[in-house]
Amino acid sequence: MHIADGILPLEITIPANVIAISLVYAGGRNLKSDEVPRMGIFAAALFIVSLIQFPLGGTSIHLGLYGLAGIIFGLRTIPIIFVDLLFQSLIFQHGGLLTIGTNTLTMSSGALIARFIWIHIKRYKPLAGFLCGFFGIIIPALLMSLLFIMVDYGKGMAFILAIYIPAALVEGFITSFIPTYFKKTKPELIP
Amino acid sequence: MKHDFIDKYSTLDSSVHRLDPRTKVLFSLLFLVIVTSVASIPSLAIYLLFALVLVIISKVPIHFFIEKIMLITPLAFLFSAFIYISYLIEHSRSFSISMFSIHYSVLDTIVPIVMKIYISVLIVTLLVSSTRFNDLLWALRKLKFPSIVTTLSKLVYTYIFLFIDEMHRTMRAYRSRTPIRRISRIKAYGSITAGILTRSMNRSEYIYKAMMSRGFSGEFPECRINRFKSLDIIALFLFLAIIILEKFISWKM
Repeated sequence: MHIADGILPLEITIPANVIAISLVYAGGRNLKSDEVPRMGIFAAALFIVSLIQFPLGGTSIHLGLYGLAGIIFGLRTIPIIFVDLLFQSLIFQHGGLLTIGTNTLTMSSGALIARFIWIHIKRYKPLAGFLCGFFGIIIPALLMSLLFIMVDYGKGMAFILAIYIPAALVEGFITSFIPTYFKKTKPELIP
Repeated sequence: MKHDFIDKYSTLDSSVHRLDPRTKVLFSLLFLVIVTSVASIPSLAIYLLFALVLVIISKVPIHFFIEKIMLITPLAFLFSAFIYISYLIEHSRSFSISMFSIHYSVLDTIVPIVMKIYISVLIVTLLVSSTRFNDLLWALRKLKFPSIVTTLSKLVYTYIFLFIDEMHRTMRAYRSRTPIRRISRIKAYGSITAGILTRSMNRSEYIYKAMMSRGFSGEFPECRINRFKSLDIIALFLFLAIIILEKFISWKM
């Protein structure tokens, strides 16, 4: 779930937009020519996978691939996520325009933590991949819950986290295979 | 490869369509800021009415807006449910559906939020459906959005179709090779996703090189038809009048 417009007060959304746009600038600096199409296709991939729903116990979940994006792109993930969220907001109303900064910061934090995990776990790469995928979903969900509690929507908002645990597990399993596949087919992508 | 265009209603002719894209982007953002900052239900009702009038003027089919509203409705209900659960936890009450109708304090929180969500969806849908996608990116660039955002957006708009195409092709190949239709293992999902990404990346690099060779630099050329007109000024005054009316009604109440 990305936060829609009208839920968070301007005291949060406006500073978050300023910080997110500064980070987008930072993430988009000194790009090499071969990075631009890769970032573009990955932003398109993030957008498309978020539309593919998997049935789960009467409801449905979708992949985010934020952990994988973090592993491959590092700080460059921030503009990718920003553009992905802009598309989701404009076309499918998943998330808002004013809350795009807040959503970018929460989603990017998961991706950057995934990158950190991937770099620091040198052995057992499938396990590292699983953790990247898992935390790529859980960290944004955790931050979103904390944000809602901070805004005084009540402590019940912590239950949001529970919805995301199955999605994070599926994402973790899938992310544990993809970097290994890329190591064989496109080794230049994986740090 | 055959896909619907995202901005399929942008070629209609209406007063909303004729506004400068920059005006529409600025008005939409300003509208969202004002709606977010308002808390009273009558004030939100005025803005909802204004949004509906704009929807009617735009001539975009109503069912298009209803589809968008339907997309956001489950999320609005889920969020409302979480607010209600929080309310019950903090007031140490047990859950019952009948209680929902008598807890006016929690409804005072939920109703404005749901109204704000719906107004925002109407405004954003109106912006996207009344503006060509390239004009929208041009306006964002003119309003000093980072060029990386507009360049990537342009590429994403192109690559979405490429990615969907690769996905269909891969799934067709998978179905033709397997006796069962359903993918039963998560590992298979992982390999399929990685395969689609690899092939899409390869194709995206060729497309990007082709775009570069035809002069694409990530910037959007100056568009002659996009100029501030008297219609933009009228729209500005109308918008200000609505804000003043809302403030006046709030003050009277």
